[in-house]
Amino acid sequence: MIKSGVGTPSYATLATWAQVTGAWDSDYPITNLANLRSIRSVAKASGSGVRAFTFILPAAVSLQFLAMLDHNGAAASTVRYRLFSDNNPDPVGNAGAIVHDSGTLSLLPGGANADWPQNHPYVLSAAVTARSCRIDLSSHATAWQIGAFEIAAWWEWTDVETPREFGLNNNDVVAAMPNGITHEMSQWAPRVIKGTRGVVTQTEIHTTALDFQLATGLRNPFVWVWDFNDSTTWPREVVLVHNASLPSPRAVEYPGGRVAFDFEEWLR
Amino acid sequence: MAWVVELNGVDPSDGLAKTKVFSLGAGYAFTDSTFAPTGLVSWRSPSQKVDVSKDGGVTLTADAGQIVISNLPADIGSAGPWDVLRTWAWHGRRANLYYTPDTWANRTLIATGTLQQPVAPLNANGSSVTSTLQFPLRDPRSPLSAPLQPTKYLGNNAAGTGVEGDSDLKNKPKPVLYGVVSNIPGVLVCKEKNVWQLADKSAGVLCAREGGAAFTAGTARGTLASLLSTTPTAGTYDTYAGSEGTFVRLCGTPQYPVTFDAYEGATSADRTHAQIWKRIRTERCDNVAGDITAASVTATDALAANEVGFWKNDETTRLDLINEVLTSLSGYEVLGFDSKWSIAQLVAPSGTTVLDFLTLTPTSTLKTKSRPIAGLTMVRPGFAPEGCPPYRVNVNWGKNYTVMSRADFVGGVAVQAPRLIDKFGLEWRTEKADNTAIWNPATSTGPYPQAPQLTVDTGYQPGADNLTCPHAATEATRLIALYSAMPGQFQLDFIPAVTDRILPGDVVSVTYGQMGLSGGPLFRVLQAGWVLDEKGPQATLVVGFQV
Repeated sequence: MIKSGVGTPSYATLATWAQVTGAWDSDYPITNLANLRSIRSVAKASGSGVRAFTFILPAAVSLQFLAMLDHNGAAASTVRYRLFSDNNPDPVGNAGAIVHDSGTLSLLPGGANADWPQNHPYVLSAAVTARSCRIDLSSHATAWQIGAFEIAAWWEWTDVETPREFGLNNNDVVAAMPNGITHEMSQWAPRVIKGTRGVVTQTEIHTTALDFQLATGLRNPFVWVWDFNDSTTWPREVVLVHNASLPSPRAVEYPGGRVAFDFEEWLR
Repeated sequence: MAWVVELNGVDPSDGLAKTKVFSLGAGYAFTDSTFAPTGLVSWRSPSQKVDVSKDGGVTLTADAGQIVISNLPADIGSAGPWDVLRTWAWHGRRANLYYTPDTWANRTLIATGTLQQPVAPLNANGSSVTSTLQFPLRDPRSPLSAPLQPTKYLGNNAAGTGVEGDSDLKNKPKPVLYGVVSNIPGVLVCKEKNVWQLADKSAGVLCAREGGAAFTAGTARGTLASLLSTTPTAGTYDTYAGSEGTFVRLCGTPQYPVTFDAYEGATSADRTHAQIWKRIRTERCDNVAGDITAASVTATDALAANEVGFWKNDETTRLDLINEVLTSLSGYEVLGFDSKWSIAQLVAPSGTTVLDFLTLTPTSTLKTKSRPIAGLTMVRPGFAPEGCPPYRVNVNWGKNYTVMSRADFVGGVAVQAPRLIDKFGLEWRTEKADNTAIWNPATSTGPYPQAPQLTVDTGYQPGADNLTCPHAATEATRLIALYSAMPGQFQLDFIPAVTDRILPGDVVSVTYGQMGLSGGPLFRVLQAGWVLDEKGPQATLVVGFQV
């Protein structure tokens, strides 16, 4: 059974980031992780080796989804997430406050694919109330680089229709030149995802779906995961997206309804 | 977080200076109890612009700015909530735009301007209502349009008493001297006693001449009364310099034009462009020492350490004198975000950039100071309006404030040194530098036969030999290298972060695939336009002098 959904609501912009082991380039500070809107403002380690760092939220919240976005991990790279109930993410001195330990996870379990931004999703089996987190990355041969980091609750989608639209919004600029020649310039080609969830309770439509549309609007990026259980889909179908439009959910016949989605990859 | 505009004005109901604040979007109650009601519709900064004219001098202009405040009445026919602001006195006072992350105390100054009285476009057709108050904004240099010399001659001398001149001098400005000047005519303030005023402040007198022939220096009197009561020895002149000004009394009534050489500033190090600019700012322009960025004065002195001089005895403005000094320097002044004025010489960009502009791609990595380019247009610099580079720069120096004909020389031409006749017969002496790769006037060859020549009027004085001006020659060489290379100039649009507070003179880099920008060359910011409206902040820069 597929595990599909989006990370929402997001707490990424509220996090305060700090390095624990290893330094970060002052031109690409670790605080850049908090900015999903500018994914190109990456955080970059100051050199090779392992890195450990933490985030602390202003208050404890219900978390179930973490995602390391546009990272440059290698096939053998690993990550470990430890979530804490308080603001002291110290696994030795404050081990009692650990509310979740992911153990060591492969960053690229489905294999590397250089054609797409490398995104690593992590969906907890159940939500935990947490305020801080320590992240340990294995040694990197050059320098770790991460575009952004999502910290969110998880809106799991059931009954997603398999026949969905998934492709590229090809924005190539074609200019007509003299003598019938055309000139193409390669431009951005974000992925586009459209589909429908077929059987959704009207309660979910009236609460989570509406809250999601209000929180994300058209200009706030979030992470969409097609199937967390199948890591071979991650390279292409774990995408930082925004709503290209906000189709109104349809409460067709009580107690069911349909929720359509219209996403476009967020590349900025 | 909020964007808040602060308007400083005077409430006519009680005559007190007050401020009004308005926020963009919804009203904003700061956590320290300061409330900014909604009302700010847009802010467009009066952006200062540094340019080089087609004649060769650095020019400082500004595009007009504007603040728009919503003044929508509750219904058609009702009064607007801010109608009362039309009665406040705003003119010449400051408006500030702040970004406030949380509390008013933590606000950041984003932009500033000088207010004018508002206008109010009203849609009074009875079927719909739109109403705004629009405050035109001028740049922070606009107060310089005030008269340079508010102190005028009374013109009430009677029977050789006093130094306020006869009726012909009434309401004419007293002379203003900065630095060292040559052959100034002075102002004859007491005809009966042959007393001339050279400056309205204490200064030194280097020489007094009649018809080009120098008098011998006599006695430096301790009081003005002493100068007026004592006739100088024959063939000499006496002086007095004090709080009343600087005066010279000649031994007799002259038959030929009288002129003087004089200086202000204790030492030659006090008579540089930057030091003079600083004194004009603090003595004539309502600034105090704390309003000046001392580091900018030091840095400019390091680039231009030679003596200059300026003298004014006509009705003019502070702006004219400041501009004359800055043109002489080929420099500019800017008001920083710390509300301090800085001076700088226009030089090719170098050193650390404040922002780096680049093309955003899906694989770009943005540094902390990287900004994606939203728009880029190649434009022509002001000194090459038709795109043709100059082949020559003339630097005028050693200004002669009294241009004399041959008949003006005492004893006729024969008894005067030809050098003096040449020197005092021309307003300027000139050093020039050519780029013969642009056009060679000697051989009439080169790719630009119609290449212009630029001329810069400076306050430079002769060098150590008292005959030539090597530093004017150096400046001519510097400027022709700067201008004739036709450095790239671009207009650049970008979405600024709150921390992006760019001023003219800052250095940025621009990386783009075309027009020679692939290597990320450096540019000098010449204009920094800034707009805030419902779409958020947008900035437009003019950058030039690509290296």
